[in-house]
Amino acid sequence: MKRLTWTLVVVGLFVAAASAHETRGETVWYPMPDEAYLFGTRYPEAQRVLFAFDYGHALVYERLLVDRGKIDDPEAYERRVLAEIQNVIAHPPATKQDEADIAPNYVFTFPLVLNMMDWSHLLHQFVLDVLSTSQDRGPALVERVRQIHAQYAAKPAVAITSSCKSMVYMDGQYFSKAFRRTYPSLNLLIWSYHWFQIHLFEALMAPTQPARDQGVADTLRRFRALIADLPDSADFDDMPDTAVEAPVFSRTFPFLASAFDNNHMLHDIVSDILTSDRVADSAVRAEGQRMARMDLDPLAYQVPCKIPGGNP
Amino acid sequence: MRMNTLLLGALTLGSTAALAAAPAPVDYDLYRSLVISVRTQGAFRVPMPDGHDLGLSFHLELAQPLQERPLVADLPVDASGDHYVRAFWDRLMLKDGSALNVGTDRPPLTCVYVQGQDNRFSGKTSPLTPDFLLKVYLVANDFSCTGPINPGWPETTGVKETWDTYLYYEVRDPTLMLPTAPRIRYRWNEFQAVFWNGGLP
Repeated sequence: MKRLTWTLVVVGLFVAAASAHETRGETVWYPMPDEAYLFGTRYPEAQRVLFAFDYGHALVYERLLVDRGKIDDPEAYERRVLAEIQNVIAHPPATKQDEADIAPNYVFTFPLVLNMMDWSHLLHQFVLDVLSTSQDRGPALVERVRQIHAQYAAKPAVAITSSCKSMVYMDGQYFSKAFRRTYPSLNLLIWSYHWFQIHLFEALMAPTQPARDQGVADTLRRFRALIADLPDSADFDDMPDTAVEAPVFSRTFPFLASAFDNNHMLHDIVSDILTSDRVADSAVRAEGQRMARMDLDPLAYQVPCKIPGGNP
Repeated sequence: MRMNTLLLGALTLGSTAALAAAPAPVDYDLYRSLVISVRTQGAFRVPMPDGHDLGLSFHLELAQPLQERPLVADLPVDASGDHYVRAFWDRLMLKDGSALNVGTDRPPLTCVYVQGQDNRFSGKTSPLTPDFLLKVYLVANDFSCTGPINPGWPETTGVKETWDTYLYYEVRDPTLMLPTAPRIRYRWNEFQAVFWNGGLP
């Protein structure tokens, strides 16, 4: 009986573990920080909205790629995709979704971008986890975030640089701004995502737990208002800038502020590549890889940081 | 034989574990509601190296459950018995007209078999492990829904598995019901597939 018992314990473990599957080459963070995903324990609604973002990003990319060159009525198309994503945000998943399940063509067309996004999103997540759980709100917190960032930076092949980049990187390419001109509401939705992420970081910089809880709740409320009636509800002229939207966070962690802005710019660049008819179908994959390489390169489009300490 | 032994053992151990720590009451209605929420239509593709992906799709209409309520067993994940995975199994018959579309073939879909996993009592802390995992088999050509293993095998038949054709996928979040890790078994040949998530109609 004892032998059977242990056999079944092993079976049980196997069954519990059988919740992951390999669909592509993934970038895995190992070992994971002790704080991993504890943000979601304290703020489950916000965590679920972040999971919904992953779904929304992937879905937009997949649609634009699959339907590329076949969209006769961009306005109607945008309304349809927007409604689909809004439904997911209104009923967000409790579990992180794999992009390959949502966007099987996108993940194999932009493998480097995907590796970089995965890696960067893990950094986002784990910084949120540390900021939301650390009892120390001073030097120990800063040091812990630095440790997380050091583990991130230790994989330079996929680590988006912390070097501050000019907006020309995003807006100065031959295909730039195609997405925001063609699909203004979808673009504002994605900028609203980024606004939400940035403001979560800022909310979690508050010194007291009640203030942090209130800040996260306010950020959720304001985000929902931002996307309530797109394009009118989100009044962004440019991509939200972390240094402006999250000044306390940016002063404390300037290397993160710039890295997150560079991540957000790459998101927009991919959208532009997929939307612009100036990019040939045969060039989509190569352009994605070329632009991703620039996001790894600290010298490409480098400018002085608004806040000292961003450039490595 | 081995699967039956394991299942029997799991049920026995689940009962034993119940003595150590009272398990949560079984919510049969919840599990049945998850099962009847499976998609009634969907499209998939099997990626092919030559660029000519194989498209396949299905549509189905649920009929009666084959059993009064889902089968349930608690599988311990540690020696204390405090943490366990609650497995459940259910089968629903399908109405005539339900079918797979594979190339020019339209084999009839005959039942849905769901092997479910409720991880809420497993002690998990990471959202990477879902609360629920549904392993969904849309089964073709088995009008009695006998599988997945032929009863009494190998005494009764030389063939271990019942189903020659089915579409399999997993659901990791009942909110989305997004099919993940899909694969098609078509006349015993198996192919990994991808869910074809829309695009222009």
